[in-house]
Amino acid sequence: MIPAPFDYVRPNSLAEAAELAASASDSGVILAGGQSLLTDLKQRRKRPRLVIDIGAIPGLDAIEVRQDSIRIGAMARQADIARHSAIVRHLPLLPQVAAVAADPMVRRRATLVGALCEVEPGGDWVAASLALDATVVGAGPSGDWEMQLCNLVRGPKRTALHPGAIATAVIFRLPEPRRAMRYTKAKHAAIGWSIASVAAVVDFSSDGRLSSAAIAVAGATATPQRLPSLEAALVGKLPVDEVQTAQEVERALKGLTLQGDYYASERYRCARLAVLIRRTLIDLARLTS
Amino acid sequence: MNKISPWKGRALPRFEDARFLTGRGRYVDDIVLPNQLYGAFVRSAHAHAHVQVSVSSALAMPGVVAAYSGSDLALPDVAPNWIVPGTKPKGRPALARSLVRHVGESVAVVVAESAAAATDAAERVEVRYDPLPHVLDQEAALAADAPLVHADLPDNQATLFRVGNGGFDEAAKTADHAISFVLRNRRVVPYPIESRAVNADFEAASGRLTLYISQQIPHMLRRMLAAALQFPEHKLRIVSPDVGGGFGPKMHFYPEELVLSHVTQRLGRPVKWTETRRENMVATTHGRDHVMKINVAVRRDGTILALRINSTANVGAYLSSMGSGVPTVNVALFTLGIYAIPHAEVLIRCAYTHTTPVDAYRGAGRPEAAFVIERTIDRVAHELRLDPAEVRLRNMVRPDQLPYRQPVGSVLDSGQYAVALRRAMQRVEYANLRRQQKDARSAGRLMGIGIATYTHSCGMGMAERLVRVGFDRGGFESATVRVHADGSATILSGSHSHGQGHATTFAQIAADELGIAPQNIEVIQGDTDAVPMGTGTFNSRSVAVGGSAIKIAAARVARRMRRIAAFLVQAEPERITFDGARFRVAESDASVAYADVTRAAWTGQNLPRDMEIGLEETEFHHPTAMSSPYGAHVAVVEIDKETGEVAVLRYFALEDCGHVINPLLARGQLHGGIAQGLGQALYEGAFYDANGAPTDNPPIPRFDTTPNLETEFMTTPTNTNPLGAKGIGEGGAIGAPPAIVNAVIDALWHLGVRSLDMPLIPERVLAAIRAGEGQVHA
Repeated sequence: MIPAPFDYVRPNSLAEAAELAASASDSGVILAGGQSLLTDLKQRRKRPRLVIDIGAIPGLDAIEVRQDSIRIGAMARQADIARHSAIVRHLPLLPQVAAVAADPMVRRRATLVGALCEVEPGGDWVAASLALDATVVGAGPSGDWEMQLCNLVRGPKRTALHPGAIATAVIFRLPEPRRAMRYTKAKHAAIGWSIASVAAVVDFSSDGRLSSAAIAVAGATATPQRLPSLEAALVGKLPVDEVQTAQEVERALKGLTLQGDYYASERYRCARLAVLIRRTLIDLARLTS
Repeated sequence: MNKISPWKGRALPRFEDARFLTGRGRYVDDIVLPNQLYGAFVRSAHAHAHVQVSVSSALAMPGVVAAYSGSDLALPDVAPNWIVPGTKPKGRPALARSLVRHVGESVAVVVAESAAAATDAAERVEVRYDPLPHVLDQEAALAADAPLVHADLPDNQATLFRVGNGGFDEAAKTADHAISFVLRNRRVVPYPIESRAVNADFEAASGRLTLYISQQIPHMLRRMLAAALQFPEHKLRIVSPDVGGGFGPKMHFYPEELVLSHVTQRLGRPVKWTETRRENMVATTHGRDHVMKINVAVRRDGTILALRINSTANVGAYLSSMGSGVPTVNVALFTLGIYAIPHAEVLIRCAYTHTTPVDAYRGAGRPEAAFVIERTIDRVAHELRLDPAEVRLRNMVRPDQLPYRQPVGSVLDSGQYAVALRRAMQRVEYANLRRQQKDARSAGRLMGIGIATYTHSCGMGMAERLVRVGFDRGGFESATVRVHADGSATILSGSHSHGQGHATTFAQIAADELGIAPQNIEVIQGDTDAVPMGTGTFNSRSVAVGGSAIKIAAARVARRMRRIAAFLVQAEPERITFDGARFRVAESDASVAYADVTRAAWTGQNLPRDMEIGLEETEFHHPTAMSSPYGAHVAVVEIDKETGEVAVLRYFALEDCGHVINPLLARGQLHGGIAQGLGQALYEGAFYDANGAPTDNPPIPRFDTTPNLETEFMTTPTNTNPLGAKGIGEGGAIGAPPAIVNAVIDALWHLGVRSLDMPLIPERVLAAIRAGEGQVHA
């Protein structure tokens, strides 16, 4: 459990970090909370030449509440995010993720932006942030950049970030107050990883029909992703109609790229995800009716 | 001595907690010696291959001091120390010579100035593997055309073990029903949180070799290692400091300690190696792994007339220490549980395969046995539409039958089996649960109730019996009890804690004899230079055997103190009483302070010549019998029929482990055992891929996955040891797997589900539900 040799730097400014990252290009990695990276290093799955620790850069851990958005810095820890009062009020989906993702010690070190850049297949934070239409901003060799999270996520452990780019914050627009949101997860019994997760941000009209839906999934699929066809199919429908909802969900999951292992095969995960989505939507519908 | 109220029986918090819970324990990896070197092993990624090893590139790496392949070291194989008669033992090579036989077998060792340098250089060892066909499964290994694990063993059979009194076929003719089915007790990875670790230190000037090692049986290891190295035992010291969990695998002698003990002598510097988690998965022994074919002949009222068990066990590529005994003797003798079954035939064949060796793991054979009999009882009950509890009570050994010799050779000497089961049923309100189950079922919910009873034999034991089954180990345990001049006391114990809390329980035992507080008693273990020859901790024996040795030695020290006190106050020893501060003379004002007695003992001042100096006694307690704890467990589960997920709604365990020294720690042992049993039942396993590598991320139980456990103790004292104590370390792990599996099948039987193999992962349960429904509807 000893990493392969690497150089380690802990710059004090974003400009310096960006310069180091640009010159290291794809032989460098950014260290924020280390949730994924430290394991990758210790198991020698990653062998970077340079590790750039952005933990000493002032201001990166800020959580800023703005007029119509919340901006969460790259070094803001998941534990702090989960109990931030404005987040608890406006983005309750994020504390719900924290309640089921990793454990208190990991959340104390791990960051949200880091999780977004890692794109683990079971990425709870990625799924939730996709459902919230997050935007990631950062610095890079060709200047500051801004990217919709859905465009940043390219595949399992893969992003659209250029070598040398540093994500500095994630921005969430404040959702309309009446939006209901729910994060649910079927965990691997002992490891706690996601077998199937669903993030749902929905709105109902007065007759109980869905008037808007943002639904993202993780764990069962190889990459966390939104389910636009399901969202479209469900709008205007009554989720409490179990049979109809089940049919729509089943249809929407066809053709997804799934993942499986000895504990839960692709097929099982897909079935589990279908049950999870259906139950989550029905729960939300009952709760708001 | 007379005392205030006994310390035994009090739920004292573990004295060890302060250092364990604040990260201040001292484990092998914490020990850094002057001139420390670090070792890294290069391990095979192939299950079976010819190997050619070149270490020259590794030697050229910075900081590297030495690197060896198997042909560089003329070391013997690590031999097993339990060889059941008829076994063909194949020991583990120190380093593979030309052939590797399992993923994880070491082919080279690199020694460097730092752990990082050793790890980096290990990657540069060049190994050419020419893969050969492999066999992972024991039934496949015993088939005619299987690849051979050892060229000179044409059938891959390690041993064949048979017990019983015959008569199955005759009984089957008169029986109303004959039922047959197959049980698979899957291989599991023991996974102690502290992996194995070794720091071997040879000091050339004195010729002494000190081995710091995370171990359960330091003295036994000294004997085995001395023999393997041909090293004088009096110059070999084993030190096992804090041990972060053992569960059985840390009582074996492994190739790594043999290699490093040799290498430190070559280099004249200490060499340390700490197993990585990944190495632990493939190099440290696994547990269980049986495929059992069961035939049972039964009357329509549920009375079992005869049982036939045909099992094949997987011992892995080599025979680990107890590798031939655990899957045979330790299984076969317990397959009849607490039941009076007149005829039994047990046949167990053990096969070599291209997998990590299998050996003792919490329960060591008894969980496999309990799984057989308790699944059998439930199978019979369900097939005959009888209540599983009723079938148990019908077949139990009755008190008037005790002592009862079972046809597999076990003797049940005591035990209120029916009382225990009835009490457990009463505690969970069994009849009420059955009603709830019925209601749940009509509401479309799947609820199940599972019972498991068990007994086993612990507190090993009698050397004369061990030798009969080929087990080269002592059955005694040692204790030295020393009261110091200032009145404090030290216990040197041959048992060895790997988390159980001996420093607390052993102090409580001595405190009652000495009449002082346990907080003033220090327990020292795990250092063969300090502690008299011991046997070690396994088979739930520490209190029953090690604790008894302490009680006997402490009582002798107490008698000496009373004699000295009597002399100092000039009274007869029989009239002396002790109140914790002063020795007093009954019906008199004369007294002497405790400190004056202890000081006199160690100075000899004011004492006559014929009164020996000191307050120290050593006892080697060699039991004449083993104790038989037993228990009754009840699990209540609900299964989500859409997902197959099993929720444990309730878990109740009633245990009779005799006199309990510390109820808090005893409960902790029970909780830990049940958690491991739940893990085995629900999700654990060594999941091999087709290439013979186990999966990287095996699940283990955690606090957040363990349900609330209800536990209760029932006390039937045993006269097999002076404490009246039985064992508590393994019961939870023995009872929980059958209790959980019985509960799940109880929930699903009406859907047509007849059997389910552990682990009961949701996908498997869901598939069984679907298949069962298919049958029912067909």
